[in-house]
Amino acid sequence: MATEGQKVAEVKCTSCHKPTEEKLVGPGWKGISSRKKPQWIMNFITNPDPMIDKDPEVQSQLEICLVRMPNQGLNDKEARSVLEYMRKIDGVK
Amino acid sequence: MKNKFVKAIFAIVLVSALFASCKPKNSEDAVSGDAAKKAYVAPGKYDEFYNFVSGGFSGQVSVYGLPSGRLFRVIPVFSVDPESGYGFNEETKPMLNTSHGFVPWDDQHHTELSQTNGEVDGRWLFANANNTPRIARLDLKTFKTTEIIELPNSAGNHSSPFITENTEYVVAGTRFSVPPDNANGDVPINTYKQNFKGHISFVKVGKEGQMDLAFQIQCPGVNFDLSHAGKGKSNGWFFFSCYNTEQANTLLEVNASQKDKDFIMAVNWKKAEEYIKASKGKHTPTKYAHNTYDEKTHSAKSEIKTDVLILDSKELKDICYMIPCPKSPHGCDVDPTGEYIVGSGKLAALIPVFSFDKLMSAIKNKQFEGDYDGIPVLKYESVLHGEVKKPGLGPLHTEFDGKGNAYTTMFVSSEVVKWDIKSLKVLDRVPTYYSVGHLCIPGGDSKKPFGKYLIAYNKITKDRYLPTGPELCQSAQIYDISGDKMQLILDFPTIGEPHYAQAAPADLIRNNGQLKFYKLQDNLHPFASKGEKETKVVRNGNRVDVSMTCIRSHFSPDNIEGIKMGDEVYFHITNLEQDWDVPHGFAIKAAGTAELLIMPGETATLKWTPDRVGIAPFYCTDFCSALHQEMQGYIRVSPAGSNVPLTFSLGTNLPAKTK
Repeated sequence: MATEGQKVAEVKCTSCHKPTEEKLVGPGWKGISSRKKPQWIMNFITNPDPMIDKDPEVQSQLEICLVRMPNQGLNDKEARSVLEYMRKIDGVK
Repeated sequence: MKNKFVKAIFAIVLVSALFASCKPKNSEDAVSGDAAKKAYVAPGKYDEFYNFVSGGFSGQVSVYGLPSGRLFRVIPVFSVDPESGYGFNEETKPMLNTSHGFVPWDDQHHTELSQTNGEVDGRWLFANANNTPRIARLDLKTFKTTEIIELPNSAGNHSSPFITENTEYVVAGTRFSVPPDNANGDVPINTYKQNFKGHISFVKVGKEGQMDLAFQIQCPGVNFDLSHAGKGKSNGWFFFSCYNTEQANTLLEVNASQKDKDFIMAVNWKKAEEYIKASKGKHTPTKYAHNTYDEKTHSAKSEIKTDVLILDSKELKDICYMIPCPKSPHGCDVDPTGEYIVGSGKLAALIPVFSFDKLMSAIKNKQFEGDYDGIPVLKYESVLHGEVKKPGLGPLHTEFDGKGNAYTTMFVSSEVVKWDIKSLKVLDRVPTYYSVGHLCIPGGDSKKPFGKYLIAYNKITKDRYLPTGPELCQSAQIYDISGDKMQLILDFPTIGEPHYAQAAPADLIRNNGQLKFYKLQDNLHPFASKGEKETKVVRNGNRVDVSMTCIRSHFSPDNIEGIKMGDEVYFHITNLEQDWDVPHGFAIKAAGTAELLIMPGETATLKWTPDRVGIAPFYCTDFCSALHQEMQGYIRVSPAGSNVPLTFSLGTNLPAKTK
C-alpha cells in the first residue's frame, strides 16, 4: 500500500512536498505521522479548502508557505495509500 | 391676478408635457422604470440563460449570460486566439487546416444548439465559417471547438449550420454559387448560368457528435441565404431561402433585385436518403479537410478527404421544390409547430407565411407554375397561409415564443415587430438602436421556445456607447417579452459583429457534466509528464523535446543548458494541478509562435526556435499564487557546434563559487 501511495504522491504531491524535513512549496513530510493524526491528514488531503479556511494551525502554516494546498482530486483510497507512504517515510510500523 | 398667471403657466407646462410624452424624443424614453431590476443579476448569483453569440468577422463565438448581458467567455472557433493559444500551440494548429492550407481568421455567422425531439439539449453548439466554408462543433462540457469539417463545392457558407430536430444532419448551403470543384473553374465569369452551381451539403451527426459529409445536392446556381429544418409534422423537410435567382454575376445590388419573387427551396431530405440507398448518388472527386480534437491526447489532427456523394436536383425528382417568395428572401424560419414557414423578403413590404399542409397538398396536386432549371415551381397562392401586411421595412429574421407569436426584425425601420402567426396581425413593435439584424429568443427556433427574453443584435452602434474612435463595439439589446408589450431592459456590447445567436436555460448547460479539469490519469498526450519524476529534455538531431511540468509555483525543470543555435525546441508542458480554475501560463522570450495557457491536468506544446546566443527566461503568465512572480526559469542557448552538455534541473543548479 505504501508503494501504491508513493506512485500517487509522485504524480500529485511531490512537486511541493519532499520526503525529508525540508520545506519546498509545502512542508516536508518527515515526522508528519507524529505531528498529525491520520484522520487529520486524510481530511486535509481530500478536502483542503475548508481546513485552510477554518483550522488555525493550517492558517498559521499558510502564513509561512503562502500557497494554499490545492485539492489534487485524490479519492479516499489514494489518500489512504499516501498516508501509508508517509508512515513508511517515518518508519512507523 | 398673480394666481391666474401661475395657473396659465401651469397649463402651458402641462400641455407641453403631454405633447412630449406622445412622441419619444430619444431612446431613453423607450426604457421604463423597472428595466434595471429586470436585467439585474446580483453579485454571486447566476444568470437564467446562456447566450451563444456568433462573433461575425472575429471568427469566434462569445458566451453571455441573460438577462445580465455579462460576457463569460470568447470561445475560439475559426480564428487563432491569443488568449488560449488556440491555433498557435502545436496541439490545436490542425483545427484550422483546410484544403487551402492553414486559415488563421474566418467569418463566423450562425450558431445552432443541438436538439433532441426538437428541443435544445445542451450537448453541442454548431457554428459556420462563411468565408472558407466550414462547420464547427463545440462541446458544451468543455466549451471547446472539438471538430471542424470543410465543405467542398461551396463558397460563402451562409445557410448553415442549421440542424434537423434530432440533430441527424447539420446543413450548409452555398451563398456564392461557383463551378464545382471537379469541373474546370477557369471559365469566363459571365458564364454563370452555364457553369456555376449551388451545392447544399448534408453533414451527418453521429451519436458522439462526430460529423461526416453524407451527401450534397447539386442545385442551379443561385445565392442560398438562410435555412431552417422542418419540425414535428414537417420533419423530413428543410427550407432554404434563395436570392439572385436572376443569376447575375455583376452589380448584384441592382441585378439580383429584378424579380418580384425569388424562392424558398423546400428539400425533402428523407427522399434524398432514399435515392442514396438506391445508389443514385454519384461519387465525385474533391478535396476537403476534416479536423478533430481528441480530449484524451489534448491534440487535434487534420485529415484530407477526397470524395463526396452528389445528388442532382434536376435528374432526381421530388427532392427539391421552389416556393416563390417576394423579393430576395433572407430569413427562413419555421414556427414551433412545424406548420408555418416564414420567409422574410428583405426588400418586400410584407412578410409571407407559408403553410406546410398546403405545401404537401400543392405538391400532391401538382399546382406548379413552371420549373426553374428542372426544379418544379409551386404556385405562390397554393402554398401561402397569408401575408403580414405593412410589418415595417426590411424584414430579416423571425423567432418564436411558443405562445403563437412571431417576432421579426426590421433592418431598415430599426424595430422588432411582434405578430400573431395565425391571424397575421401585428400586435406590438419596439424600436432598436440601430438597424437590427438577427434576433434570438431562448429556444426560439426549436419546438420549445422559453420565451421571456428577446435579444436584438444590431448592425449599427453609432451613439449608443462612449465613443472609442472609428471602431465601435457592436450593440445588443435585451427585451422582456413576458408581457403583451415588449420592454427594452438592457443594452450590452458584443464582440465582432454578431449575426445569429442561440440561448438555452442555464441549468441545461450547467448540469450537463461540465468538465472542471483534465484528470492526470486520463491524460494520453504522448509528451505528458505525470509528475516531476517524468520530466526530461531529449535531443534528437536538432529537435529538442522538453517535457516539463508546472504547479504552484514552479516549473520543472527550470534550468536548461545545452540548447544550440539551429535547434527547434518543443516545450510540452503538463499542468499538474487537479483543481478547478488553476491554469498556468507559459511564455519564453522571443517566441515567434505564441504563449501557452494550460488547464489543470492538460498538456500543451509550444515550439520555440532560438534566434540568438544567450539566456532566455521563461515564466508563468497566469497569476497563480502568492509566489507567481517566482515562477520562472532560464534556458541557455549556445552557438551551433558548441560542446555545452544538455542538462536540466530544478533546485539543484547551485550558485557557482566566485574566485
